[in-house]
Amino acid sequence: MNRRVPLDDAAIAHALSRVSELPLGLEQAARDQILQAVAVTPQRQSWLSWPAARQARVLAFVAVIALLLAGAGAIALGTLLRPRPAPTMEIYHHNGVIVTVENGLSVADYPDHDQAIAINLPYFGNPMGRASWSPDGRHLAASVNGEVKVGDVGTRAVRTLWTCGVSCWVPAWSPDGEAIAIGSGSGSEVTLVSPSGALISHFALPGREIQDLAWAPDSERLLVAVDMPMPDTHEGIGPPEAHGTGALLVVSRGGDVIQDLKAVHGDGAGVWDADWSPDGRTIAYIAAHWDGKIAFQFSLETIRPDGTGHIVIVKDAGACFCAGRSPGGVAWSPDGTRIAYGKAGDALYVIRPDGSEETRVSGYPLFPAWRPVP
Amino acid sequence: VNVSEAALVAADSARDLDRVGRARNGDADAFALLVNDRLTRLLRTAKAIVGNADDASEIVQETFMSAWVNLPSLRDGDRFDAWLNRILMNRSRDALRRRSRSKEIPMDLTVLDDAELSAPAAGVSAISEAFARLSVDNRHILVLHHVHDLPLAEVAKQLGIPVGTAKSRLWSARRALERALEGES
Repeated sequence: MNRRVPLDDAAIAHALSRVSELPLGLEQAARDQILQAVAVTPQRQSWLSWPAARQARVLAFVAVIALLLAGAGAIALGTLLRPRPAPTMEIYHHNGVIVTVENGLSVADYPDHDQAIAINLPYFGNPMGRASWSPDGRHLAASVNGEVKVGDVGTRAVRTLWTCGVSCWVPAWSPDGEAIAIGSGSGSEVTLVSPSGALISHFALPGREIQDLAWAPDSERLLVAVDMPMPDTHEGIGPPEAHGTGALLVVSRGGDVIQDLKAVHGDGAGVWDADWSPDGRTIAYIAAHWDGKIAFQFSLETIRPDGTGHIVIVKDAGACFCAGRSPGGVAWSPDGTRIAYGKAGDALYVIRPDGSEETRVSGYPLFPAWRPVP
Repeated sequence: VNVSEAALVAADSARDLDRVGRARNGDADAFALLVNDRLTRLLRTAKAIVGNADDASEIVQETFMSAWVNLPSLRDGDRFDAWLNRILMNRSRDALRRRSRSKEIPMDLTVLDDAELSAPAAGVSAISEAFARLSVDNRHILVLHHVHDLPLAEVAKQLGIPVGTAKSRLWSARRALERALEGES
């Protein structure tokens, strides 16, 4: 039973002073590193910092250049509209391309990793997990810095779709294009937002920590990968035995749990990433098995939405000590013939659901999002 | 606040405004002075919020680098501290979320021993654990007020909010801490 605890300023100040104590030398080391980095890092110039007269001159200059470019653009348009050379890898011929959000800055296509920058995202903050394509493949939603941003690949314009109170992650665009589901709040909340940014609904799954979201093809049900809630040791770091209670929940748009798929075969693993196949027949997920000591061992698995047909496709999908980010990520190709997944500490791979034709795609394994062909 | 204190505050503000202006124009020395004045406070704030000295150091370094790189886009130099705190909080949230996603194992949890301390009411470790369950924003305002001993007006400036809002947020954070403490006991 709870009891009232006396609390005064002195007690708070005393306790918080302890938790904010710094080890010897930390401050000096941080100062040195900051100043060394500043000395070699250029600033991002903004026209806002210029005098008004200079701004006016530049605007006039830009207007003239824009007129000239408009003419040149008309000529160049024919060139730009030419189809791009066919991808060299078979898997891209009919499936579109895979992207990952990297460094909070850009979205890169594979396999043309360095050439095909699609849109730019704001600088501040790192993206939280994978991005999600609109069903027409023209817009991309990604969570950055406590907000969900939507980028238009055609115009490259980026707008803020939704601002979460604490944090946003794993946005998932519904197949009908009418809703974006967002993991939000302290870890157990889901917010549904329209593409125009209007709130559709909000619900919580108390006692769960949401790891990933994916829609059923009917756009009526959500697949929610959940792991252990934040344990009392705070911030998600619990004793090893705290992990291994992951679940794959199918929930309604209102948050009612329809089924716990993972519990059907219950192998005791956590679930960190999941995606529903376009035909609705199969769910792919990354299971995280605690090794009992210091590391997680991952496997790529599938299960049917009725809880039957559990298959381990890739038993060794990497392992991690996990001092950095989750290796995470699984995504179906739009035609449902391939699964892209990130192998921890290794690379991004594409594989058929039967485990055949595994292909290494890129050396960067984080969070694939497979773009539908626009 | 007497007249001489008010004059000192005004002089500090003018000095900082000048430094921000020079740093915005690429003066790394001016930026270094801004860093020097704020480094300890930001490190202690981040350490209290994320509970890990190495993470705190990384967060603060990223915060200052973001500030340096993007300083030319800051319209109002008066809001430098609010802007800096905003970046720090965003970085802290990212770090906490990343850590929860990655199941990182903390390496330097401070061991708090109530027996060696004599906090007047609730125990130090109980308060610390309750504090760790608060939102980042609540942790931040409590640290500003209770660790850095900033008066409400300065808390408001650091957060870029009106004093009345700072007061109500501080009250809410205190209530949240009390509730968290009640939940623990």
